[in-house]
Amino acid sequence: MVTRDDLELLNDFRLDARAPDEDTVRRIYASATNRRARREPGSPLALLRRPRLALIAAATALVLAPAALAVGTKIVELFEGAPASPSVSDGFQTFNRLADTTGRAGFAKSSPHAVVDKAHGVMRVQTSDGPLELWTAPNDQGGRCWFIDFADDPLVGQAQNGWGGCDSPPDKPESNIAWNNFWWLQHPTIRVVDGRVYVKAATVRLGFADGSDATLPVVNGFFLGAFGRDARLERATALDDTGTAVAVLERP
Amino acid sequence: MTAHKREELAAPSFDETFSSEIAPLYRYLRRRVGPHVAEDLASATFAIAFEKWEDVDSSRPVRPWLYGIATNLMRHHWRHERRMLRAYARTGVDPAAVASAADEPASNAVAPSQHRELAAAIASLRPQDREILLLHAWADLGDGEIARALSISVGTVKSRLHRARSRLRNQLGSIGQSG
Repeated sequence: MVTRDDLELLNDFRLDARAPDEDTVRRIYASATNRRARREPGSPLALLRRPRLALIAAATALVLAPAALAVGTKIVELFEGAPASPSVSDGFQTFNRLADTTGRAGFAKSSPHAVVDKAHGVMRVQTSDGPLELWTAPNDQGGRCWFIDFADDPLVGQAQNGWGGCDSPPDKPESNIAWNNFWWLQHPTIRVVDGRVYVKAATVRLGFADGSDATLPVVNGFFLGAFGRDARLERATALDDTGTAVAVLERP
Repeated sequence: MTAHKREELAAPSFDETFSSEIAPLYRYLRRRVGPHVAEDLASATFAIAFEKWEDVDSSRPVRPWLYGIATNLMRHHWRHERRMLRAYARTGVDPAAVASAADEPASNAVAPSQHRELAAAIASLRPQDREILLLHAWADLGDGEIARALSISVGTVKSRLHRARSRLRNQLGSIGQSG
């Protein structure tokens, strides 16, 4: 008869709990360091706060706003091509610093860096907690970096407060659609949906667990929406300009 | 002399510490409370560390200090942790292994009976004892490091760890035996 030691049993317990992926590391780092920036208004990070990361989006067709409005998202303004403000540029500079940090942590041997002077705006979505903006910039590995932020967040002294990331090689995605669907503690009533479409598409139709749906525009492969806290995304279908489905992704 | 010694030690920067500690700290927290809460706790832990970085005693290891911060934050989640453990014990499906918001595939495999009973046994421990046991087993901290993390004596660590392991063994009974 063999008796296993209690510590041996403990060591096996939840042994498959994974280490954080690169995106998670970026979010944690950004969240931790940005809190300090808030306390030091003169620092380069003072206008950047991004407790969570995700993908980003863009838009071309205002006519699609009513469909989104039905479940809580309203496209207020498209500003594709608008040059990034200094604070947004600072945000992309921080991406680059994060890339260096995660590289040191062994999560990415060659993390992409944003080409900051080419950063530009894409769209702005109204939420119950104020406008949510999407910015993007090319990166030095042929992909994109993105930054989603509450433009004027009262929680952080009317400053920017958001998250973002960069395409990481290999750029060949497993699916032609990718999304994030999350909320964070600072804005507990909002669930953000943002994502990418890797084939040519005009819109993306989102299907939620409660049976509701919403249609968002896709611009430069990005989409973005803000919904109620309980909006659990189950399915995204990308449509071309004739309304034909060109890609579908369902929650596993 | 002391200043010279400190200079030789060259305390790690925040970024260096973050790079080396984020993975084990996150994984430790994830084993305890799942991915969502683990991320929030890791963020809060490093946020506090970042704010207090200049006050850190560079002559002492930073790891116990980090886990001390995390442990203080974990106190707010003791009930949550216990509920998850009890649910695991009852159903065989571990709530701590559910998918993250970013569409990470869920792990819904039913656990072996040993793990279900172990979950029940961990849940039955006093929170303070559970804390020390898991810092020892999952964070791989030594008695001295746990003592520094929790600001208690090494003797207290040893006695609580002994108590926790005894209780765990009693709770587990014969489940750890195989013929």
